Amino acid sequence: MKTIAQGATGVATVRRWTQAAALAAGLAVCAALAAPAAELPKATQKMLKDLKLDPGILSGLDKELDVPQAWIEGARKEGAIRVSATWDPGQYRKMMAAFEERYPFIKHEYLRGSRQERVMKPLIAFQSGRITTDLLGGIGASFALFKDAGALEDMRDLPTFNNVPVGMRDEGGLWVGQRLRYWCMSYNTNLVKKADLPKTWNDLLTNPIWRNGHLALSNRPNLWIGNLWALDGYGETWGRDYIPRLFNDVKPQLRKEGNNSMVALVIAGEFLAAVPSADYRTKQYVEKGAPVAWHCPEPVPLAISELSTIKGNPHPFASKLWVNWFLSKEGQIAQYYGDLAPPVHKDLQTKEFLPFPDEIVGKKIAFRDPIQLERDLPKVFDIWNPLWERGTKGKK
Amino acid sequence: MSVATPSLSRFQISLPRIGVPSLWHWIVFVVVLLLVATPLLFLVLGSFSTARLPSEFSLTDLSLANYIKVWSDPGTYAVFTNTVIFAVGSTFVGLVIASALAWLVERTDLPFKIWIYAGVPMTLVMPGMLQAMAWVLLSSPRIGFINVALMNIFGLSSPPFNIYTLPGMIFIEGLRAVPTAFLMLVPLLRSMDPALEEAAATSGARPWSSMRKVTLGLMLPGLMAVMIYQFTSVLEGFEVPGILGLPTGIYVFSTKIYTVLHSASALPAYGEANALGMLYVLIAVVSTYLYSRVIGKSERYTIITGKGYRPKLSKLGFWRWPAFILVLLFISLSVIIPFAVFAYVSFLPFLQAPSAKAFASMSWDNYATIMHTEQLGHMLWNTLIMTVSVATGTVVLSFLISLVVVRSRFWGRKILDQMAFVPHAIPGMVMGLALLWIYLQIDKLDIGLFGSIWSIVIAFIIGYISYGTRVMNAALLQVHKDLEDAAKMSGARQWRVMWRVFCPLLMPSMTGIWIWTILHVIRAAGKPLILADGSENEVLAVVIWNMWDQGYVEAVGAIGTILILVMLAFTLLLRVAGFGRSAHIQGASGQ
Repeated sequence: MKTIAQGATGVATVRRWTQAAALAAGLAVCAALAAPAAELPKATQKMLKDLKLDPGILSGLDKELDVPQAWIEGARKEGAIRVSATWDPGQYRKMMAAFEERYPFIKHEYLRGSRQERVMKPLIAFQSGRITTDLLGGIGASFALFKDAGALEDMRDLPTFNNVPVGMRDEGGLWVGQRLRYWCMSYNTNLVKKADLPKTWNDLLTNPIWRNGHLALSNRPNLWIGNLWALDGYGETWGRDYIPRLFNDVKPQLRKEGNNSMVALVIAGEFLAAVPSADYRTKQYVEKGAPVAWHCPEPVPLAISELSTIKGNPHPFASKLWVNWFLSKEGQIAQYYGDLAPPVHKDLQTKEFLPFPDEIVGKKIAFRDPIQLERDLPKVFDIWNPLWERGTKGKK
Repeated sequence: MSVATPSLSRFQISLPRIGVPSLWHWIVFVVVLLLVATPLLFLVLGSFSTARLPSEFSLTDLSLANYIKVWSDPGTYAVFTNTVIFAVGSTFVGLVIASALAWLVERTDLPFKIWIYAGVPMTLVMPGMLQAMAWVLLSSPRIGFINVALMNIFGLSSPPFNIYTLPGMIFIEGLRAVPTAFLMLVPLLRSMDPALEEAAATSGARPWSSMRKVTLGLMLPGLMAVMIYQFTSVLEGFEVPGILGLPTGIYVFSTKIYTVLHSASALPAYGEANALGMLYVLIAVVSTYLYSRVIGKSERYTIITGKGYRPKLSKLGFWRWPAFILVLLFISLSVIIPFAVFAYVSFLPFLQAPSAKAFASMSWDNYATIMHTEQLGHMLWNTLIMTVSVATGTVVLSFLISLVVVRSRFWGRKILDQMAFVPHAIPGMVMGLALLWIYLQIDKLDIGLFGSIWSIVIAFIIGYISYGTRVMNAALLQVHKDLEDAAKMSGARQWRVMWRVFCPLLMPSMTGIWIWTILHVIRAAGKPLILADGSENEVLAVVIWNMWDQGYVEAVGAIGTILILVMLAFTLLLRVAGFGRSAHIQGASGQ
């Protein structure tokens, strides 16, 4: 018979074992939750630390990256990948650090160029029997041409394809959104008071401070006018009134520079504001101390950049690994880390990944549905193009 | 005793007469025909094509639709008017300044000539886009440093200068035209026998009168050649009209074609671009015809004879230092001030006007960004291969073409001359597009030209032989046939005549072509942008353009600053070497 002490000891022992078991179970749970952090590439760990993100945000990553071994072996044999997109080379390098740790046997070749060399040239080459890139980012309105040419690979077999919400991917798998892009206006904070910032896009037409060259436009109505056109309450009637008034009443500067260059000119004071401007580029200058900020009149134009895989490219498995990783949580956060682009991943469309959350959260969003875009853009251009080519009317 | 003439007999038996077409004449003709006619063929066919893309071209889809669309657009006529005004004005400004500079450098006692000779071509190093942007920073109505300073100093209510105008465009393009015209005119003046000028001086003519009535008269064919070339260069130029004209809707043909090819809202209209490009071909044909008329009267303007000579320098007297200050002003406006603007910008985190705050924010970050640019080494190697190959190929091919054109009776020499000149009138982007098409077709034969650095080298050589042959033609015209005949009479074979007679006399011109080509090819972006296909043929101009397109003006400033400093050292070195050699030749001539 056990003594009370022995019994107590026994109970204590049981209690200790129970506690130990509970502790072990708790540790196991924590370990399971922390498993991604423990297995994460060093680049990813640094990324999470720099962005002040909890590793738990990557839960489910293992499942996302669980691809057939044949893909990995195939990519190992291929050993390379060619990507043509719109990231700056430095941004791409920063973005790909984690991918390169996971798949060190894939050597990258990256090309960033104008629409002509990034989109049109690969299409022309494809039709001539030559493939000049494996992956193509920012395919945009040229998608129809690529589709007609049979130049695009179906990506629906990728585990992460469905991470992208419906409407932000092609249901046939031929393109997938790679990031969100909010297109609003950058403005010079030394020259523009916040009180003068337009609350709506119509306010641009009525406030005199934007007139006579103080506002600059790039030739990209598809990034903002196209979105507004497709929105309820706007449409063709609104567009046919708005666009001519924008050119004839406001008389903006019509600039041939790229959208990113125009932010630099805003900072220099060449004009007070530029439309459309991307959030990520403006934020980069803000972080350097430039007198620039970003503002979104309502509704906020939202576009996505499309990513496609060229059919028959010489690195099909490397392409699969690349796109699958890119659409994973790790890839999408890496993109934000690299160029401040809001993720398109359905679980990551949160304010933590917005360079200017105050300008977007709580406002009406004008998302550019690609099907609507294909229908409406020709009408937009029918009005816009003649005005653009002639410049502003009544100009001396 | 009879006088044997073994050398003459040997000449008659073993050497082909210069008047009989030899094999190498045919080789040169066929090579140039292929290089020039093939892209022209695709340019013409493309202008009639209604296919969406060049790769969809079919002979069944040809029509006049592109021409109808282009020429029925009222805007096209406004573009034409702007282009004529712009081209004529810029050519006039450039030629006047260049002629004065060349005369001052070569035929007067102007001080510090070697520095001026090196400094003038330096503007060629600066990409046109950057130079135009520099002038935006200097004289933009709102933010221009000069405007802001003058308004503050004199209390002006509105800016005195607006660079976004046609006169502004003419001013900048005129300045940009000076270096090329200068490099084309200097060899003419340097090689000119001063005997006639001395005769004029002996007769009591003042230097200015002598220059007008004797020097200019003798230089007329050369001047005409330079004028025609500059006119077509300005027609083809894109950077200055692109930066300064587009914001205010002032289109010229080059920017119109660019707009048609690079519309962000529509597919590139390749057929329309080709239809517009055909106008350039028409102008080139007319220009070449005029040029050939001038060349046809060449012997009347022979100014290099078999006599030894040394060009005589005119004394400027009281005007010596004022002339130097004027030259310095030109170099400042063209080179020093824009360079200073970019050097300033290269140290900034973002674009801002000079201020204490701006200077306090300066750092080497932009230079560090460049050093860490991926594949920097590969890009620099590609650029080196490209520049040396293009320059050397241009000199060699231009020399051979000019020999046939000027020094032979080959039946196709006039056609050859026109073919060599035509590519100059075709915009770089249109020519690049035509060559892209050709390379893609050639690729089907597994030759692998597209995507290689040689695809760009060939494209540039085709474009630059127009300049090379103009310079070489003008230089060869000044070599009297007596020198050639004397060599042949002594039994020299044709290749030896080329090497021992022509090459030494033409070395200043060859060096000038080589330097000019180097300076142009490094900064040209049109053809490389069309033909770039990745790291295998990505060159410096493409990197600069892409950085500019991305808004990295500060990093572009850093690259431009480094590039200018490297090329300054390069041209100075070549200049010293060139001066040394020509002095040796003149000394050895028994003068």
